[in-house]
Amino acid sequence: MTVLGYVKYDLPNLCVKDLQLYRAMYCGLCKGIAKSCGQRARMGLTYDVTFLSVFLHNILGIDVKIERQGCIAHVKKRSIALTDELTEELGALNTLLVYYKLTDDIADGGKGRGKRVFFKKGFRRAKKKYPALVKLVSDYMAEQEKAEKSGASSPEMAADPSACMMQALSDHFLKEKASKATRSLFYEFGKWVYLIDALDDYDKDKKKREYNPFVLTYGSESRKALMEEHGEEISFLFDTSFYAMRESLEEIPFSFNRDLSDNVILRGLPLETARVMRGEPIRVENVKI
Amino acid sequence: MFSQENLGDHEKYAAVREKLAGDPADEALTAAQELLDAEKERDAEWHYMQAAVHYYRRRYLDCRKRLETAIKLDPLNPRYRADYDGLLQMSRAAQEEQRKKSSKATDGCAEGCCECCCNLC
Repeated sequence: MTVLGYVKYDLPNLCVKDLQLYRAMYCGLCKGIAKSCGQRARMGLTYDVTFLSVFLHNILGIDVKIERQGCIAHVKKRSIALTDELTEELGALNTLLVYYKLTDDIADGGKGRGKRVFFKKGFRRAKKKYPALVKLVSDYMAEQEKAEKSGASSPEMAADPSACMMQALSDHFLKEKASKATRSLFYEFGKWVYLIDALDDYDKDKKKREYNPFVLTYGSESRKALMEEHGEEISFLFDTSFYAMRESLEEIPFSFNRDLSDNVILRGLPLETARVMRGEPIRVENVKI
Repeated sequence: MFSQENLGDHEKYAAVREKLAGDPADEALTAAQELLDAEKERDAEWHYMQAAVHYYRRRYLDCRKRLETAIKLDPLNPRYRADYDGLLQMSRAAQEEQRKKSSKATDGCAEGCCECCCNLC
């Protein structure tokens, strides 16, 4: 199960400079995808990998250069972070994750075959240019599938392969800058991404009788009933993860201003969790700068 | 939590404790899990040791459930209670942090707002 789209910032507490940086990194990643995987793969651009780009550039001490540039999706020129090696490889990671998500959707009997065609060429290009990255992701995807097929006995057990993948990705990108704190943070981040998607999909998976670790563990009639019957345990699951993330975050030396990373991890993820737990629709924040 | 001192001196689980010493790596945790899986009698201490493996594997809810079973089987054991309270404290601390953050609409933004306004000029 590859999941994308839950990693968001908390806008009311985000400084304008950080919002501008995030936007520039988002556009920069889009261009990075184009360079590593071709134009069509840009359709898979995600906020999740944008956040990884922000975070990894900061820890690695790679300064981002921002320039006014044109873009095929926008008429006016905008501030865009210039692509570098890291952004291009993250562009490949973005393509891989989208490709595997669509493959997963197809395997679950859902739609996605048509969409996946757009990413096939990009996937092949990523495979050729970044074989180690592709192997890392595909190995953990296989582990995840195995865990789900064997009916992992708890949500945390089920989330383990995805969490380990994120941890391994942090080692892959951070190299000698990787530490116990970065590994722990990325493990918890990967666990959160997997579990929040599973919780959000509770009703859909229950109805379609698809694998869902929460359905398997608790069996409640609906997500609403799950929260009424086991809300305290579900909160505990996420709260302990937030605690561990905060502890790790404090030990990570950042090279530049960390406000944006802190905003996403310490505010954005808990807000998104609360939204999913309440069963509210996705937050859409459209601020023009 | 689950310090070497708190893991106790139960002879039956000496090998498991050895694997959990210090900051156990993945291999040590896998070995500890194998030793626990091989154990037939699942007493309170077994559940406590299993809780320790879950804790080091960052599975905090699984850890909590094992500790609850251990406490149920041996309610007076202070080691079980101490680690259980520590685990609950993690969750409480995170909730408190979120409460603080949501009660301050613009936490620490006194300087930030000025900076942001300047950026807009």
